[in-house]
Amino acid sequence: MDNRIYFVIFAILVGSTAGEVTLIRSSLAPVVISTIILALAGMKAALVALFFQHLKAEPKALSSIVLLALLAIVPLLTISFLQIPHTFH
Amino acid sequence: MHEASATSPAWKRWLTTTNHKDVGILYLVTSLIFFVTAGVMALFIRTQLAVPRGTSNSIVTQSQYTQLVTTHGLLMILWFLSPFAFAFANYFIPLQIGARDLAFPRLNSMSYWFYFFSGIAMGLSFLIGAPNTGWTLYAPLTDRGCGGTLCTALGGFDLGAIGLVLMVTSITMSSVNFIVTILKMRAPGMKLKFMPLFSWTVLITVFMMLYAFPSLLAGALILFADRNLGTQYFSLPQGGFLLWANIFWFFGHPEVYIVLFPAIGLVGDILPTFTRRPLYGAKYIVMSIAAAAVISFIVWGHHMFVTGVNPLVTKIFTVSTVAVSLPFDVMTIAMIESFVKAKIKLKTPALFAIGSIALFIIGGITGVFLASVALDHDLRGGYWVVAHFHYVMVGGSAMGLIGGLYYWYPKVTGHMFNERIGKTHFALSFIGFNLLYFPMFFVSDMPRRIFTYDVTAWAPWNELATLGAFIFGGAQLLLFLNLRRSLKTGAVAGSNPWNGHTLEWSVPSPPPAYDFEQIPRITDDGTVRFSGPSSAHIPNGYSHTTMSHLSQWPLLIAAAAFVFLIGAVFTIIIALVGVALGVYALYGYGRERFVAEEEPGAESWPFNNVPKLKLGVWVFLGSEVVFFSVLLGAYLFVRTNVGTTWPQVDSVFNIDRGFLNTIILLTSSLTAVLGLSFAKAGSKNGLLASLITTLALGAGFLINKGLEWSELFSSGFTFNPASTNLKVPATTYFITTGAHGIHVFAGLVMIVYLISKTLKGHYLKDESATIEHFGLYWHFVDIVWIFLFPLFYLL
Amino acid sequence: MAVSNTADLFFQLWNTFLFLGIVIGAVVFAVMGFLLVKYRAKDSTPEPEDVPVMGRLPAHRGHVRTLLVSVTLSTIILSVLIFGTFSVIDQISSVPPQCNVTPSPCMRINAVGERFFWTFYYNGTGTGAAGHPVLRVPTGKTVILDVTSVDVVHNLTIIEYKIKTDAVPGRTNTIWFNSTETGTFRIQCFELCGNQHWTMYTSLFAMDPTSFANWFRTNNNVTGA
Repeated sequence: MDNRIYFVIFAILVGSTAGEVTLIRSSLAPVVISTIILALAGMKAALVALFFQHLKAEPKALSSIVLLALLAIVPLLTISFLQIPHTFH
Repeated sequence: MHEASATSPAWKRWLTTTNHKDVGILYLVTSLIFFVTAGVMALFIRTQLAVPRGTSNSIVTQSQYTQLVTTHGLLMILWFLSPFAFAFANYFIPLQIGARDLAFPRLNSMSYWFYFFSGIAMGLSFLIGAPNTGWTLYAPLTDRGCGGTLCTALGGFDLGAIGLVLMVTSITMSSVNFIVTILKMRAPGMKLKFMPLFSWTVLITVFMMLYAFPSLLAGALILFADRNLGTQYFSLPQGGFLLWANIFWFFGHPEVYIVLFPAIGLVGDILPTFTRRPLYGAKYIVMSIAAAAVISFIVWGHHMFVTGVNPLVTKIFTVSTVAVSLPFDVMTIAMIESFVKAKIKLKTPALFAIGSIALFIIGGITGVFLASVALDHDLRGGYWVVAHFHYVMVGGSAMGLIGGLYYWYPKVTGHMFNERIGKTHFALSFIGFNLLYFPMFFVSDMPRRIFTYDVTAWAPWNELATLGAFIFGGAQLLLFLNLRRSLKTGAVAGSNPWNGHTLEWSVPSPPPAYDFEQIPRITDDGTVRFSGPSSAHIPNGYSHTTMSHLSQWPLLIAAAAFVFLIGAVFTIIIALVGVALGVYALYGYGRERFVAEEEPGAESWPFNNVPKLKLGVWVFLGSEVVFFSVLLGAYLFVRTNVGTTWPQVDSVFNIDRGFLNTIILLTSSLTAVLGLSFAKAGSKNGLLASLITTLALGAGFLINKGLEWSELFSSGFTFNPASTNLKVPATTYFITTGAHGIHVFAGLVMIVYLISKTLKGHYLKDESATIEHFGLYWHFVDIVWIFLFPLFYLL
Repeated sequence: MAVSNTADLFFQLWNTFLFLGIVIGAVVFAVMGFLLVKYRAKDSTPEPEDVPVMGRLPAHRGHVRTLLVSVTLSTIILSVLIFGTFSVIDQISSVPPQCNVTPSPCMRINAVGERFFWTFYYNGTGTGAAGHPVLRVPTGKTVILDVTSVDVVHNLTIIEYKIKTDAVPGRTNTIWFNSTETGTFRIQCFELCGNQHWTMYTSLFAMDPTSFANWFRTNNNVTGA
């Protein structure tokens, strides 16, 4: 029973959260800050899923249930934003 | 769980049964009641529209009319078609795959009772004003579009919303149940490739339901908040309507395939039996339906072609919508090709199946017209649309399902129906149907949902349609009379009156409670091995004279949810009664010793080493992913539309509190997963310590959030702030974090229960699965916050 | 000739769809009917070799060939329909370039939907602007309609012109057309907006340029004329 991995992951999670908060006080462009922060959030989510929810050790089919869900909503979260600009002149 | 003897009153059986066949019959009867109700509504609509009228010679008032068209649509789509299909799915999926019941029988019963109470809610809404906005519930008509106030007053509409929420809950539970059942409980050797088409289409359908319905749920809850709490999502001038349209149609388009696919599957089972040959290209039919299911999630914009979105988007959706006709093309050609060199017996089930294909073809071709954004500039909102969707939904889906009713009637009742009356029913239905809907193609110029009209050119077509409506409606009387009478006087049907080959025909008609005496085994070449006759053998948990596996908790839990939601609309006292009933019922459900026997050696690829309950939890989490994504997407959509007046980072929210909460929740995930390790190792104290710490951390999260919220309230950040540019940020913040907070609270309730059982020595070593399942849920809630924190506090 | 350029564009595409739809439908039904008659069970018909029997789950039947042929044919037909659609939508979704000179030879009108009537403005919708309940336009001139709503979502449809757009509060959607013949045409709301949705219709008068100019001169600044 190797609980050490949980502590390692936990440290990464806390560290990257601290990183997110310090990032907003930095002088990078807002778009860059947003992208990095969201990428960090995605990474944290993946770590929790892979190690705390043990998806890494489970059959791939189990991950596919959640991956399919994400695949389903990607069109909604992208195409609907394309609708926002008016282009009729 | 308990049992009832053969002399127990019937009501006790029907209120507490968890047997999939009984639940199937409950769904069948209830859905047919909605069919008749919504059908009668249609007759009122058609009578009103038969000729041009004025308000003085109309047969209903304007207000009644808009309620009629709205509820006719809602009831037919949500309360009739899918439940009708799932009546068959409930009864026959276990039989077709070689199982004794669904994976979670009590959950199945709960699905039915949530459906039942959702129907009560809809029925009650009629007393004070049923929904009247079209089944599509467009905002801001459903919201504050009328001079900043609600166009439809609080009351009946919100009862309808409750009905919707209860229905979606029912459907989500069913999705989890059927996915786990079909993937984990097939008979030994029943590989996926051997499954009949009906089982395949139900599997595909429930996956679609899993991923589509959470969008409707999120939309309905946001709409409820807009109406009852004063939030501003859908009445927002910048993009409120588009937000609703996207959320609704993202659900709405997969939904119309959800109501169609089980019928196609049924047709695919009926055809081989009555053509005496296998289906042509069966595996390509399955692949096509799967492809159509996937594509159905990227076509929703064709319902929004003239909403003013930019042409690039409309072109994308034209291509995707046209593309989705291709798999349907393959499917139809394959079915027609099945007739080649066959021996076609045109009995009633076959007539309906073939009729369904023919009508679906017309519906499909006319749908391609609607896929063109250019043509939609004429057709949108007119009667071509109405004709198209009735051809596919009534002609394709309902007729196919009615064929299934005739097909499986002998199996369920043990009697044959009258074939002559069945054929007459088909002929009158087919003629009436076409007379009703085909004329509508000729009045594409006539708008939908209008109370009456003054264009005399539209009248003749409307008259024809109304005539057809009465023929079609009247013909259904033959269906009910025939099936009712045949219950007593129909010839005895053996186990296989049609000479079918799927497994449901191998058991007696009607089947015993346990379905199969021994589960059949299938060899690699498709041979089915049945065990020898052994009428003395009754499987564990069942007996000859008593009903088994009864439970009253599903009904009580559904009733509690119903009462709670009624209270949420009307008065807090009723809501509290609902909570009390719910706590009592959930506790009883948890305490009950209910054993659903497992058959060894079940086929379960690709989930071979995943226990059923764990799979069920993951499937449920799949739906939660969609739910929260839509909620978050709504926030981002609104924020993008509002633009630069949105408050700057660090100007409203207390980042430190948010950061603290993130750390608290991350730590609680650590303690939760450590708890699982302790449980597996058999350490009761370790598990207890972990659970208590997790509980404390979770409570800390909520307390911190409560403090944060009260700080925000006192600084003026509410649904009615002094500075108006804070209203929408407040709306999105409180609703999204509130939904998350409710999930945290539910988790804490679960931990309290787990602690109480751990104290008694449960969940250690091999029993640790429950802790793992809780952890899966808890980590998911943590993941949601991992995204919420930066999206609200840092960006 | 069609009553407007938009109707003309529409009918060309519509006729293509209709022709193909009817032909394909007829062919498919003919084949279906033929097969149903030819292979109908008669007493003399033997049981097919691969008849499904209880105890044996059926083997696969059929080649992918016919299905591939059908998919290929369908793709070709559907591509024609897509390209035709794209061509029409490109034309109707952007204002003709000749309108973009100053002074513009095109006429821009605001259309505002409200429960349950339409109001048309020729001089912008500012305070005190004159609104009209019917739409008058001259033939031969490109008319651009900027459509919006002040309450719920409506839909402005000029039925015989085969053109429509949703009227969305907070948003302005634009359509344009060129009337080719004089006449009276029907404008109606095609999105349910309340119990009196059915009453929300009015007329479009396409007038010859001289008559229109006369009307415009005397009535334009008068509300409701």
